[in-house]
Amino acid sequence: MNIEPDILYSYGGEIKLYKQHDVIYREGDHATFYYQIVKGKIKLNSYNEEGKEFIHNIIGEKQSFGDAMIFVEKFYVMNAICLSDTEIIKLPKNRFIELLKNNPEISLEMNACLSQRLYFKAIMLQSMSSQNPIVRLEGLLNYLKSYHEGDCAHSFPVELTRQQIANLTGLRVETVIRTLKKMEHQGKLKIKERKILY
Amino acid sequence: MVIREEILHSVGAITRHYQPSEIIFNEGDIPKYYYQIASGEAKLNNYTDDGKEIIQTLLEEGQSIGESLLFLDKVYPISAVAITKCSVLRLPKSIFLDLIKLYPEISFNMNKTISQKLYFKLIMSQNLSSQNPMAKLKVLMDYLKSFQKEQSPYSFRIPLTRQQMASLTGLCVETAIRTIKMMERDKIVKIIDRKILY
Repeated sequence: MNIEPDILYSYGGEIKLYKQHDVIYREGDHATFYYQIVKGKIKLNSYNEEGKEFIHNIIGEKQSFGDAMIFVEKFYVMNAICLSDTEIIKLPKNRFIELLKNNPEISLEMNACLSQRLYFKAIMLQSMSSQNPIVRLEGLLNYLKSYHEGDCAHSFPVELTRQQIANLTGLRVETVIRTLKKMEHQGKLKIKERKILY
Repeated sequence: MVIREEILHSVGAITRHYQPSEIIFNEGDIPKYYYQIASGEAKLNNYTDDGKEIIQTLLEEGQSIGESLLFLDKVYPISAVAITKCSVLRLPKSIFLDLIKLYPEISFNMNKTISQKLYFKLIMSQNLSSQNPMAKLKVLMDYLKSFQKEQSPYSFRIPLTRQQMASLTGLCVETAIRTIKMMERDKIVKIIDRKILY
């Protein structure tokens, strides 16, 4: 979701500056704000019982995060942590809801935006039950890409390491590396200086 | 209830009746209607390459079925199947899209509904990283119980069959049965007349 900053300011949105590694919210916190990134990058992560980190997504400029939790009376299920110095517009939850009520076209846009996330999340969960590693990786990459605007081929740089991709798909890191190479041969993605472009 | 039934009727929704295990729509169909359950239960499912059923969502009275697809230009990635006898209100997509423009509060409810489904997916995707069947079942049980007021141990009866729990978590039914017995021994659940109390 990307709402015009001026509209956010007019409802009381404020810029907040975070340093690299700062925690924006923690797993278990209540959702009290709408967050939209102006500059910088954050990660959404959680830790399993053994303390292993799982990065669920990396979010950048002009993207919102955690907004589904505004509509659900539940706690955050992930942490949001800055990967770089980050500028974020924060708008209190009740003002955000007011904004939606006064701007039906933004609410409709939100319908479409949440629908898209749900769609790709469902596809991702479905592909993870496949034995075929290409299907699993495509499921994850399509999901990550769906958070980004514009969908021309090979334009989306995947910010996750191979190890992180392995953690997210339940594959071994060797399998991830081999499968990514195979997908490069098939023209499904490009690899430039170890960076994956999907 | 996502949309009040009077409103749906007033704009021309019709009621359709389904028998248990009858299909409401199929994976691969083009979304043409908004569906809302007037009575009964349904599920969204698909099958893995080797024929195992994956239940993506269980739906009950008042909930909409596959509504997020009406905002996207995609075919259904899942099938919708009646679990019990169902009455379902059906409204053509174009009328539905006019309706949410006309009634901003419906668009707002839609954000809520989609967010709740997204929240469920986020919770269940924690299961991807876990190889441990007990952890997987516990994630599902915690989710279901989180909607109850009463939170004391064994106060909540799991409203699912063992098969449904297996299909929601990607386990074999035999594994689910064995794991639930282990959870009883570990005093995580109680089993009375085959009913699971958590």
